[in-house]
Amino acid sequence: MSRNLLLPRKPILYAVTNETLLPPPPNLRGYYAGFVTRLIALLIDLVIIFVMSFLFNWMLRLILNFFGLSSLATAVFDQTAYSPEYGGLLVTVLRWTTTVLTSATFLFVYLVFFWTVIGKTPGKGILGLHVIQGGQATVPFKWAVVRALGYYVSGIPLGLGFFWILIDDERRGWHDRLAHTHVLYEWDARLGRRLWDRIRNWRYHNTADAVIDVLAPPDETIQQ
Amino acid sequence: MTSEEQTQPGVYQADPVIVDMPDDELTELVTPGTSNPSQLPVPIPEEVRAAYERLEGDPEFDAYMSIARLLVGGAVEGTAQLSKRLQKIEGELMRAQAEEPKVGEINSTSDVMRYAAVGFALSAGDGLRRRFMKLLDATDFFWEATGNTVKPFTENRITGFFTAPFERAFDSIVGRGQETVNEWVERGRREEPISRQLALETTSTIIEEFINLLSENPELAELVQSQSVGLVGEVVDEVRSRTVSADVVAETLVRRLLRRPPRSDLPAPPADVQELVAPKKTYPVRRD
Repeated sequence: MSRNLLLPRKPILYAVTNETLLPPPPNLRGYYAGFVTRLIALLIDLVIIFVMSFLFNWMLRLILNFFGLSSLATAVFDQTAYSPEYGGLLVTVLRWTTTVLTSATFLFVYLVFFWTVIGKTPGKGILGLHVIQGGQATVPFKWAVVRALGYYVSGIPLGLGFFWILIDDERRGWHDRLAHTHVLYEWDARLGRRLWDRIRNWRYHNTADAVIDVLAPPDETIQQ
Repeated sequence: MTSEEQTQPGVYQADPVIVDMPDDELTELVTPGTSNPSQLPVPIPEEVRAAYERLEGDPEFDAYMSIARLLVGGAVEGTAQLSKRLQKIEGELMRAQAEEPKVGEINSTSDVMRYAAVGFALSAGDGLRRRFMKLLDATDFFWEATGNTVKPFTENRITGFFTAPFERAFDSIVGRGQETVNEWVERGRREEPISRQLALETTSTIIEEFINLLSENPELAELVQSQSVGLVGEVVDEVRSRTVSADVVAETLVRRLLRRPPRSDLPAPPADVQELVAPKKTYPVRRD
């Protein structure tokens, strides 16, 4: 892969109008969020959901045991219980159904709840992202449900719907398109220093000297 | 040991921390002719005494030596304290379990793997020790056998004429090395108790002073708390910044591969969209 492939043909974040290079915005707050940030936010959410669903299963098992349904609890939750005396295939199907349904339900409830109430899940909150829909800072319930189901639409064809964020002009995945949502940076997002230096070096070698001073970004745009 | 020796000024009574091993060659090398070297009075050398006197008032003390003593003492004292506590806890546990302890149940393959891992971890030490002793025996046997075989060829007048100078040089080197080791052992014996005491005193003093300082200055406690929170904020900011950079790099690569226009050519989100995540304006609260 060519090294120049990493470098933009025109300076990133610079709007080019009539050959005039405008200074970059002071920060990227309010700009569409990119693929990597959103992917990491989703992974954080999945970890949280995994922990929650583990705790839920554990508590459910305790409750079943408390009410004397220990055989059912063992059959559903105990992985060592796969034997003919516990029902064989039927128990395996029951166990898998419980696991998948619990996780899917948790994922669905978690996403819809947080998008509807505050417009972001905890994972998105940590990475400073916000989901908006139709000019509102939160997602209406109907569209939150559509967006949550859209995750499956995006994920089933090998995640193509998620990768779509990389090539979409508004950085939207298929689930965003279905629910008419956008994901924005909610903090004063700035590029890392190293990337800025690389872009500046590239510009130094590809731009006339006269405009280099104009291109120099103000200090507040750089993450020190 | 006489009472005169015990009260003699400038004589340091070392703690009996060295295990007495009557047949140990090293013990004899260190203190020839004594049965228990740890009970000997060890005089504090002048340079150590001078260093300690400088510690009292002179700000230009030997910082390197002090820190080295603190580190060595901390490591030794920490290990000793940990061992002591482990021994105590283990003893209490054994006493509490008057009857034979229960054996863990095996319900699945994972149980078997877990027990195997625990058993391996505990058996590894014994196995290594046994192998090491066997290796030592084998080494002794090898040297004895080869030595007896080549003895007629190496120990005669002709070869001795050539090998004697080398043997003398070798003996000299070994002697000097042994002297150095003896000096190290002597110094270690003198320094170890001092270092341990230093580590104990320093740790307890610092902790005590820190707690006192926090209790006397609630502002300081708040500052420590806010610094911790600030540190977390900085870490989060750093992670966010890196992910934003990764967004740009990944997107630039993919868009270049697919010959899509770069993001810089695309318009920014509309102002009303950006306004939705704009920072909320705060107004100063009037306090009467």
